[in-house]
Amino acid sequence: MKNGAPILEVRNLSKEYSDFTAIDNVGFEVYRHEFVSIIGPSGCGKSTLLEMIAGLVPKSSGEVLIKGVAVKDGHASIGIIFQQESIFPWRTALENMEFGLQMQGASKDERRKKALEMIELMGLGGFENRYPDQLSGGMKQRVAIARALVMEPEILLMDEPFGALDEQTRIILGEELLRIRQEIGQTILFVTHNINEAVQLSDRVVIMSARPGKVKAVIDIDLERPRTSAVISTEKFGRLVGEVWLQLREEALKSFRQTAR
Amino acid sequence: MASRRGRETAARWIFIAALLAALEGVVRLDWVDRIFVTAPSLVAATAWEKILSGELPALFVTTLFSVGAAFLLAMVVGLPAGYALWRFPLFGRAYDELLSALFASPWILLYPIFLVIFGRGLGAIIAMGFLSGMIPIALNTHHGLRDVNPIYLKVGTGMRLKERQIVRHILFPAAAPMILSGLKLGVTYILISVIAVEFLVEIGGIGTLASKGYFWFNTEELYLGMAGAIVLSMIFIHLLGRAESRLFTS
Repeated sequence: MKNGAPILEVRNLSKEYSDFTAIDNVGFEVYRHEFVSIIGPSGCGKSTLLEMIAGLVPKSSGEVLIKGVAVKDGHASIGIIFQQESIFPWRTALENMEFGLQMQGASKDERRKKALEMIELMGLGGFENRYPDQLSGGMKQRVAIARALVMEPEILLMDEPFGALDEQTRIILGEELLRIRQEIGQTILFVTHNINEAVQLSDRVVIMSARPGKVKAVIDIDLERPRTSAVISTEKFGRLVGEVWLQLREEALKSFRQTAR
Repeated sequence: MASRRGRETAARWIFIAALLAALEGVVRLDWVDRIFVTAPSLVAATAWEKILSGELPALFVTTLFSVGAAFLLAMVVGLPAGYALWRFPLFGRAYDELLSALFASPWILLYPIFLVIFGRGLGAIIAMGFLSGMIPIALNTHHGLRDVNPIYLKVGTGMRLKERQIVRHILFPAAAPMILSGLKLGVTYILISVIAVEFLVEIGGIGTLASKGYFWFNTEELYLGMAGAIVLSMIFIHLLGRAESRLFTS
């Protein structure tokens, strides 16, 4: 999956607060069309890491490069999806998807056309004119994903996007995400604390340590593509989940002790 | 939907009609003194007479003008003031409570001073209306902006929007329901204030009609003044409701 030069390079990235270090010297790359997950115990700073890459949180030291060029305050080709419901309640599903294009000054026809294509891709047909309070949690998150994808980002950052959903919806949306990724070749960097989800979706899993967050290990997920959620029942899936957990167990225990104090 | 709205309207008017009919009956049966309560039909007759003579439309327009002018001023000052309270949090924390306290105080007692400053005319009425309406507009705007879910703003920052775009396309739409309820509160307080001052100093408007009716034991005119105030209030609330639904369907 590693095609040519990386799209995203993270080099020696650190985040220090006055009384503790959240992220300590983290580095990894993401290549075109790759799906990389970052997994770590709670409080390891994985969301902070993602927000630093997106330019939402200032970094203390280190570099973020997009296609070889260092970026300071995020980059136009980075899209980001949050865990919390973030679609605008005063706009319909379709209008939410048009938002970014509207802000860029795209014409009404152009943004409508692109948003309708996205409705098609996301399987949201029939829900275009619904307001968020008329949509389920899973549907809302689909709209949020569509709102980011319509901007055609080089890389999509996802911060536990399915974290607030129930397990079954989460698996289905994961499968949907893989299908969409397959269709448009989207590069994705995904943060999660769910081991099954990381293995189900990723080409590689970056495992982070307990605070201060460092890269502890990187595990290649060599499950076949295209993948459906049926992959969960394979022996290989179970073995990979086991492997990730072995790396993560010690860190999770450490983190548990940190927070118990 | 249309039939549900139709039923709501029917329910509203049936209840009001029943109350008025009961009132009519009570007065006609002489169960109450006509000095205190009068029959709706007599009020309606007085209203018709004063409409034909042009007196009532003139009073109505005067009050409408005072309320409209005060409301416009209250928005022009209140909305930016609310924004400033949010934009400068220290300022916001320092003044929010004071404004709330001021909002709850009986402004109306200051009317003689306003008469001295602005003269005995529409200026004083509009100035008092402006003050009582501006405060809830500023407060609600401040609270609406303050309570916007930060995730919406983060979406804007994540898209690298300019601050001006975030304010116009995320912050204000997100706060709009709260701001609109501030406008409704504002217009209500302005109406009360305008009619009260009109009543107290007898300068033009519906309030003066009620006041004259009161002093001359003309019960019909007193109730006609009150009915006029209710109609005015309904007009403003209806217009704001229309603005609200337009805001949320565009």
